[in-house]
Amino acid sequence: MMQFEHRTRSPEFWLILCTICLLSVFYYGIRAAAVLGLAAVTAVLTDFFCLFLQKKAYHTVDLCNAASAVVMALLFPATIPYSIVILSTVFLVAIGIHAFGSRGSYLFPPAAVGYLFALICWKQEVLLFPQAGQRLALFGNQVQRTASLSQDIFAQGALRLDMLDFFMGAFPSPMGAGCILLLLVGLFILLLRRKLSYWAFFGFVLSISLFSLIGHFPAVLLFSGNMLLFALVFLMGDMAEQLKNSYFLLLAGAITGLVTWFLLEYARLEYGVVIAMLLTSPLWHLLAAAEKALLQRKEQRKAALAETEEQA
Amino acid sequence: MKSRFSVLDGALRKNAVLAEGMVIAPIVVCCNTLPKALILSLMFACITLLTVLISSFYPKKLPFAVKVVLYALTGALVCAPVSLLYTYLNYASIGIYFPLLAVNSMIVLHSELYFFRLRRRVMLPALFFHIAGFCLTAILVGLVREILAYGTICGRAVDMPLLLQGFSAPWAGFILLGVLCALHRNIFPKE
Repeated sequence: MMQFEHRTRSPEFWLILCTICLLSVFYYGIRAAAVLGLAAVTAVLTDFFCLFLQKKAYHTVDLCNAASAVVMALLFPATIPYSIVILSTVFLVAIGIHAFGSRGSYLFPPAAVGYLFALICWKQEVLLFPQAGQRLALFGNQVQRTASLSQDIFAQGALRLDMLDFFMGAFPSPMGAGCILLLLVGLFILLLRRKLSYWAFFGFVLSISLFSLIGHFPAVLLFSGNMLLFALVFLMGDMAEQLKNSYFLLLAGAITGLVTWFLLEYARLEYGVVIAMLLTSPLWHLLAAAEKALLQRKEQRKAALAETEEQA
Repeated sequence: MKSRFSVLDGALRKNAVLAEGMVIAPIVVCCNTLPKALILSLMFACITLLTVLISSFYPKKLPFAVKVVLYALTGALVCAPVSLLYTYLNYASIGIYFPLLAVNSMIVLHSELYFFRLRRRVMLPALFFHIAGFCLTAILVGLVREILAYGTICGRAVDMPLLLQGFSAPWAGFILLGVLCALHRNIFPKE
């Protein structure tokens, strides 16, 4: 497993995360705040317990695990039962983070691990969403839930929604994956501040765009939903952080994009990008190991050359 | 005294699954309900006990590779009468893992490396306790997974507030087994 250089999250990440959380609370009321807060608190407590078992102290750097839990919670509907949030967060921290190394040495993106666990165990609760704008109470919400916009796109092959509603996220969707405008702004910020690699982003987008030419759905439609923008903002950054070489970043981004496109096109899975990130995560680690080996060899050659020149 | 304690160790301290990491696949895949775990345990016990007992009479001078093949063939032959019991009971289905028990690592490897180096009067209880250790683990895993995934014990509903249906899948078996192994290591640290 590779160590990530930056153990804490960047300020830009926290800013975008907080903004998306605020928007979720605006759309879904106090319930969204409760779900997100519960995920964060559960993550911190589980972290404490897991570090206690490992006889380690809790440091500020471990707060980034709470961010992973909030990212996972943003993929849930606002009506998700609290018990599912708690269990998914415990699984995310205990298995997704600590079982694979903790403190930044993850094999898979932790938020993706927690989300997939919730999806396998409680598919109905995770994939049915309330209409945006419904202010939900803390308990006892009896609201109508429907499939997300992504399923609508797969069924009809087109986006039948007002453009303003679409960009502002006023449609059934995961709490954090709906507001397209905000996610685009966040993506823009991360790219300009170099917190997300251009090459990984370019490879991912290019791969999906090219393959969508031979598929049923154009790239624009695929990027309109299916959590793609959310995954680019919150999941890809971690994976891309461990690579420096542009070609490797481009290749890894492209392969992740290809797997994502395949899952969206043929399996019609709106959460296909999450599965693609999980499946290709070992590839990113492999490329990081190859990059490290190449760098070491390069340095050894330089040292040998310098030695030869000195002797000469 | 020393040999008595090492004989008992097979059930807990040197549990074949939790300490030695043997015969994991049937537990991970099959033991997602208690009935399946019980049947797997019974079949494993019958096949392993009979096979190792019969194999203990084979000449020790034979090459290891030949002995392994003989043990596997013996296991396969023992499967025939045991399959009659399996069919007669008809309690739960463990699919392809029933015939695969004939070549489990306790028969093929552990018998040669451990059991056949003991005297027969020590080997018998040691074998018994090793099998008991496997059965204990299988039953525990099956029980936990059935309660979490289906909210039942042997088909009878228990009052579970929330079901984790994913625990019926093999990946949950791996995770649960990993947790049990960690707990085992904590309780019985390696010397």
